Amino acid sequence: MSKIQISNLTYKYSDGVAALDEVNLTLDHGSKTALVGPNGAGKTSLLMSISGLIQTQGDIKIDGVSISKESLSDLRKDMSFVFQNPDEMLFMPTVLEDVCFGLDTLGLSEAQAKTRAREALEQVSLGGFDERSAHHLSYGERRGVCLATSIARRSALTIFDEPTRELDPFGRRNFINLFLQMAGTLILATHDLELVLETCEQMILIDGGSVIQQGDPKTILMDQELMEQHRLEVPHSLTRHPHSH
Amino acid sequence: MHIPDGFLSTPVTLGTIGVSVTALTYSFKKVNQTIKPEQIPLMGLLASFVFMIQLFSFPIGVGTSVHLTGALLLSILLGPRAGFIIMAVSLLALSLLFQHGGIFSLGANLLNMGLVGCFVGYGFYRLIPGERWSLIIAGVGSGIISAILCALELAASNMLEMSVALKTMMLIYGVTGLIEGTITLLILDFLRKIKPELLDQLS
Amino acid sequence: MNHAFIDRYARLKSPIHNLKSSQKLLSAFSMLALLLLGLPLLNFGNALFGILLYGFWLLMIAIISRIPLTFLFSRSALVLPFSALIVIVNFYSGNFEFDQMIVTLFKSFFSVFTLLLLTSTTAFNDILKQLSQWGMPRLLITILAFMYRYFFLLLDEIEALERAVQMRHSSVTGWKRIKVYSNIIGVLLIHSFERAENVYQAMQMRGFSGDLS
Repeated sequence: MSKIQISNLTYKYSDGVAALDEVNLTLDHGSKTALVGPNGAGKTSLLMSISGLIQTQGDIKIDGVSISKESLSDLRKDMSFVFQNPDEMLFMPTVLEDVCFGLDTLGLSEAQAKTRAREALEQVSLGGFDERSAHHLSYGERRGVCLATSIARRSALTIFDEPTRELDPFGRRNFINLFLQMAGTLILATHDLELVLETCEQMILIDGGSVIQQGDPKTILMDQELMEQHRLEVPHSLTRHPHSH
Repeated sequence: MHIPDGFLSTPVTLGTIGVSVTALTYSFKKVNQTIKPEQIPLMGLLASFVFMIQLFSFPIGVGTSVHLTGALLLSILLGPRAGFIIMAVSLLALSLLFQHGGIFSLGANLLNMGLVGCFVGYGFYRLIPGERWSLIIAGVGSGIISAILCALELAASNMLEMSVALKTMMLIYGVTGLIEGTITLLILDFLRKIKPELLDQLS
Repeated sequence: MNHAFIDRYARLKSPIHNLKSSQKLLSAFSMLALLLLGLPLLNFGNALFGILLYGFWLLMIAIISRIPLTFLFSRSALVLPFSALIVIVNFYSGNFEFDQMIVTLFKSFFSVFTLLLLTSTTAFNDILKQLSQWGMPRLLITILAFMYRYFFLLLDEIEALERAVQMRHSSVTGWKRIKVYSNIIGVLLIHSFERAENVYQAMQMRGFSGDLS
């Protein structure tokens, strides 16, 4: 259940453009947070900063420990990052090996890792897919395996980058059900605003590398002016209930 | 060309395997020592890239097509030793999965296309000033040397007469090498235009 | 996209498929060695006996393995044009006698056939597993595994790019065509690099530090 504290986070591209500009944020233990913003807002940069995948200025503390070269490998033991593109996460010959990859660094024996991996695959309805190869699976199935890799890690912090993109409604519903059951601090970057309403208790609106607002998803998403200012839209389900708060 | 199985005599087979395995062992030792973790997936991805290049022939219109190896490009991007390893891996897979070239003729094919393409090609590239010409000469030069080796191997196996084989092969490989050098040049230009950071990152 | 064609028959069930990878690999290798390096041993005096004996043995295995014979024969036949060319050239120069012509043709055909039997009964990843157990260095196995894994993705990408090219450049020939295809290759190369970077990041997130064992 990680607590994340971000102070003065800045990340500039090589051409000087700031992808993140003095971002200050706190995410509490066990919170489910949605990260929303237009294309190029800095969502991915923020996620990559929290994972330590890019070098930034400023400070990020996870449970009081600052991210640094020395602390990173330990911090990552309690982190999971589900990428947008499943083909970037599934690089092993078989599904089981993909889900098991890295579990040994968490202190699990091979047998323990396999058991956990199989349980995780069951949870995403892919039991029995052990020996299949990722490239033979459908897109939805590959997404499922990616989810299983993070479920198997039982991390205190799990990050999702566009988890429902290109998923059919059934796959999307499965994701939502799994997400709601997951333990730990969860961060979800997405354009799927209905997803935000259904799954997250707080939302961060980010644009141009800065945090515009942080708070209750419904309140923020109902603000039509705010939405339009940042190339977003009020979600359809909210427009049909103009009098509810 | 990828020589299929059944056309090389036993001495030629064993000899070429010997040379290739020695070169591979040497290259591997060096690369294994110096490789950085982030380069491991890169070598795999480039191997799949080269594998695909070698699988397809390259249409150049008028009903003809050439076969490229990618050896020169690999050597320039990753260095000849890493390039050679990737060529070895690619040729093995091409043989196993697509029967493009034989298993016992791997020694000869790796020698002709890998060793020559990577090391000799890279040598020309580094020695000759000016990128344009060095690439084209590297392509033609390594192509011709590959042809000579191929002709020698087939002649020594009593499959082709040296004089005939030599002339035809040198011509074909020379032209193919010219195209490979040109395409390598075009690709490097393209990379420099679209993603120059990539080339800086590699050197 | 489903590209099962390489391993197409590797998941069938037959007495041959059920053999262990080590057995299949060793058999294929020793058969090839016999065919290519030691055929005279099978001849028992008659120059053609050995090759026909080998062919018969091959056919038996093929039938037991339940792999469609049309597939095996047609793929193996792909080497015959080259083989025939060599044979014809040598025939006219008087270099080959009749026996040698037959042997050359059959040798090339049977060696592809033998290899096909191996790869149609053993999945590529199983071959890699066995090679790894036999001591092939981890780095080479990893490169081979990644290569196999991402090859299919590249196939999809090249198909998509070719379609795009056809829509816009279908009548271009010669130099322009070379340029267009170089650009396609350039794009694929960049994708490969970016993918490699992202894969490495995914590996890092799961604790990979460079140690492949």
